Amino acid sequence: MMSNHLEDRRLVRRLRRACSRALPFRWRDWWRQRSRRSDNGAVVRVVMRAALSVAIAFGGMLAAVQVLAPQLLTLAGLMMMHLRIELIRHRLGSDPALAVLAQLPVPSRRIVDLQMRPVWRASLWLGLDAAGFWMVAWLSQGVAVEWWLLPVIGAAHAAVTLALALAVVLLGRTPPLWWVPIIAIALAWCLVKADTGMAWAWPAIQPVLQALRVGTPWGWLGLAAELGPRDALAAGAGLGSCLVLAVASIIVLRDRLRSTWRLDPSWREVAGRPGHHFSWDDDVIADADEDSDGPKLAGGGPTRADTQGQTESRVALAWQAARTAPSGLSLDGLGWVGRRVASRLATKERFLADRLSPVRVDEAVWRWALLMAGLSAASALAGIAGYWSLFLLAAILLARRQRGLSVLSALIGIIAIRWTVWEPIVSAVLPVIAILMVTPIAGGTWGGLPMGWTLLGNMPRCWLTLVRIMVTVIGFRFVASIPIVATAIFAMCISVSPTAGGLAAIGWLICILSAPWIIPLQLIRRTPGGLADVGHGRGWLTFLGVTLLIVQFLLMVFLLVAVAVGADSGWITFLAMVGGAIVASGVVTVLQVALLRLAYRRYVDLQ
Amino acid sequence: MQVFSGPSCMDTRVRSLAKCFTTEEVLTDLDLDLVSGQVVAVIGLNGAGKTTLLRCLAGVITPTRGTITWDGEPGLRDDPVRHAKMVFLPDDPLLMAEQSVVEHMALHLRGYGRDGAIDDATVVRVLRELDLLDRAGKPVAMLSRGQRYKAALAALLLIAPELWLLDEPFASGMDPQGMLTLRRRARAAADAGACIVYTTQILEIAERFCDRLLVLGRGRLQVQFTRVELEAMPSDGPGSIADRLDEFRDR
Repeated sequence: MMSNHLEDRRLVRRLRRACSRALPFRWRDWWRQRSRRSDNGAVVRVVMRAALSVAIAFGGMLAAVQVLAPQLLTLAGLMMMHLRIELIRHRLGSDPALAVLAQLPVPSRRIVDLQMRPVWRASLWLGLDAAGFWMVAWLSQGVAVEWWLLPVIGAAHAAVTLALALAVVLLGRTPPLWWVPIIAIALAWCLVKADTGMAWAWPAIQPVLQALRVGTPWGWLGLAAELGPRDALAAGAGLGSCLVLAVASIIVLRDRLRSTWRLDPSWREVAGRPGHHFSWDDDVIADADEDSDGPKLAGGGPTRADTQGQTESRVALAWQAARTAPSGLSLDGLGWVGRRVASRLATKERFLADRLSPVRVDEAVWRWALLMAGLSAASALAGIAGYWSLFLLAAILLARRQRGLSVLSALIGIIAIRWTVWEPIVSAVLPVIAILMVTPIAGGTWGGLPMGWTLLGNMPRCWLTLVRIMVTVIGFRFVASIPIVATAIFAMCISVSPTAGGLAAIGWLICILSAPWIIPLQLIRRTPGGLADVGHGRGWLTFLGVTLLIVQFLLMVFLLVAVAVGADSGWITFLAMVGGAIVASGVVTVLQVALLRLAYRRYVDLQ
Repeated sequence: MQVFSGPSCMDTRVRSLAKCFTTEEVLTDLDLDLVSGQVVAVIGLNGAGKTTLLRCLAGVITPTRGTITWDGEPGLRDDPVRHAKMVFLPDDPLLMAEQSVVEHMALHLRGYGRDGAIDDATVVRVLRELDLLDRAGKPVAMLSRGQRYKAALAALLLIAPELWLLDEPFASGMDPQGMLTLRRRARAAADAGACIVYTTQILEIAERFCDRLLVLGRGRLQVQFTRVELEAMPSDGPGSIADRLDEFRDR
C-alpha cells in the first residue's frame, strides 16, 4: 500500500489541478503557485546545478589564463560548499515533519527510515561538496593530487559530518567543552605536520593552504606568493574556518535532528524491550502534558507571540507525535548505532523533556555557536578569517536575536550587505581616495602606487564580485540583486577604464544607496516571524550597523596597512592612509547606520 | 458524499480504563462502549479527563490500567489496519506549516491508503464546503487558526474513518459555516454507521448535537444521557443538564 514516498507528488498534482479547474483562472494565482513551487526547492536545485556547471566552465576557462584561476576556482569551491549547506537546509525544510507522519497509520520502520534520510542525505551532500571543493582546488592549483584522493576525502568529510550529527544525537545535547581541546590538538597536529612538510600529507594540504589563502587579505594583495610558515598558520586558521562552516551546517541540522531523532517515540520503543510494548514514563507524560496543553497557536497574522507560540507548539506537536506513534518496533536490523541511539534516548527522556524547552534549546544553540565562534576567532588571530568569524558571530547574534531567522540566513544577509556595500568601496573607491590623498604628500607621483597596480590589484576583486553576485542572487533570489549587479558592473568598469567607471558610478551611487535599504528589508521579509517580529526586536538593524562598523574598520585598517607596507611607503604615507581610512570608514558607517535605522523606522511605520 | 458505510464498523470497548500522570489519576475505572451510528458528546469540567479519554481511545497514550479493544482485539498503537479506521483530530491539529492544504490532504489520503478511492470532484466538494477551495494551494502557515482546523477536517472528511475522535471541534476557531458543515457531515457519517466522539465545553451544542451525552468528572464517567433523556429534560432550571453538572462538580 505504501510506496517509497509518502509525499505522492502525482496525487498532489492531481488534487491541485482539480482545485485549479474548479476556480476561475487568475494569472496572479498561477504566478504565486509557481513561486511557491520554486520555494520547494526544485528551482533552487536547478539553479544550483546550472551554477555548478557555469562555475566549472568558468573555472576551466580561467584555468587557461593561469592568473586568476586559482583564486577564483578555489573560491568557487568554497562558495559551492556554502551554497550546498544552504541547499541542505532547504531540502531538510521540505522533508515531511515527523509529527504529522506519526499521526498516520504508517509502520514504525517507515518512520525511522524517514528520520534517517536527512542525515544520510546531508552527509552525502557534504561529502560531494568536499570532493568538489578538492577537485576545484586541484584544478586551480595544478598540484599533483592523486585522483583517488578526491573520493576518499569526500567520504572522510561525509563521515566526519555524520559523526558530528550522530554525536549530537548520542550525546543528546551540544558537545561539551572537552571537544574544544581535542579539536585544538587536532588542529595543532595538522599545523605541525604541515609545517614540517610531512611528505604524504603535504600534497593534500597544499591546495587547501592555497585555497584558504585566497580568502585572506594577504592572498588578495599578493603578499603571500609562496607557501611559508605564515601559510601554515593560515592553514590552521583556515581549518578553523572550515570547521566553522561545518559547525554552521550542524547547527542548521540540529533543529532537524531535534525534531526527528529525539522525539521519535519509536526510538524509545526500540530502546525499551524488544518485542514488548513500551511503557511510558509517567513523569515524562506529565511534562509532556504541561508542554502540549499550554502553548497554543493564535490565529491571524504572525506576531511575536505567535513566533514564540509556534516554537512551543512545535514542542507540543512533537510530544503529541510521540504519543501517536505505533509501538512494538523490533530492534532487529537497526544495528549497533540504532540501538545505541535508542538506548541513549530512552535513558534520557527526562533530560530530553527538559531540553525541549525552547529556552533551553536557545541556550544550547547559543553556547555551542559561541564556542565555535570563539574557536574560529582564535584561529582568526593566527591571521585568517578574521572577518569571517566576525560575520559568523554577527550572524549568530542576529539569529539569536531575530527568532526564526537561521544562522545561515543571517550569515548570508550580512555577507551580502558586506559585499554590496563594502566590496566596491574597497575594490575601487578607497584605493583611489587613498591615492589621491597620498599624491600631494608624495609630490604628485601617485604616492608610489602606480594606478596600473591598483587597477590590476582590483581585477581579482571585481571578478570575485561577479562570483559573489551569483552566490548572492542564488542565495537570496531577491531584488537586491539589482544593486549588486550594478555594483559589480561599476567595479568592473572602474577596473578596466576610469572613464567607464565614472559613467557607471552614477548608476552605482543610486543603487548602492538603495542597497542598505533593500537588503535588510528583504532579510526581514524572509524571516518567518515577519515584520511584526522585527518590531519587537528593536535595534537589531543598529546592531547590524555596529557590526559592519567594526568589520569595516578592522578590514580597512588592515588593508590599508597592508597596502602601505606592500608599497614600501613611508610612515607619513602610512599614517595618512590610515587616517583617511578611519575618516572614510566612519563616514560610510554612519551613513549606513543612518540608512539602516531609516529603513527600520520605515518598516515599523508600515506595520 | 464520501462517508463510511457498511455493517463492519469498528466496535470499540473500554473496560476499567485508568490513566495516571505521575501521582494524579486522570481517568479512573472508566467503562464505555462506542456503538456505531452514534454521535457521542463528552462534557466535563476542565481536567475531567476528556482529552485524555480521546487520546487513550486513539492509542495516542497507553492506559495505566484497563483495556481498550477494537473489534475485540487489544487496541495497539502498532496496528496500522485498525489505526487506519480512526482519525483523532486534536483541537490544535498537527499540520506541516510548509505544506499546502492540498498536500496535507494528499499526505493523509496516502497514509490512510485512501488515495485511490477519492475522486477529484469529492475533493473539490469538501474544500468548497469548508471554504478552502481558493486556499487549497496556500501553505498551512498562511492560514488562520480556523482555516487550519478546516484543513485538517477536510483530510478527515476525505478519509471518512469509522471512528471520529474530535477534541473540542467547536472551539477550534472555525466559522459558523464550518461548524455547520462539521455537524452535517458528522451526522451523515453517523447515519452511515460511523461513530463520532467529540468533546466540548459548550453545553448547548452538546445537548443538541449528540445521541449520547457522557459527563466526565474527576476521571470517572459520572453519568450518561441518551437522546430521549436529553429531550425530556427542561432546558433551564432544576433538572436541566446544567443543574445536573453542578451536582457532579460538588461531588
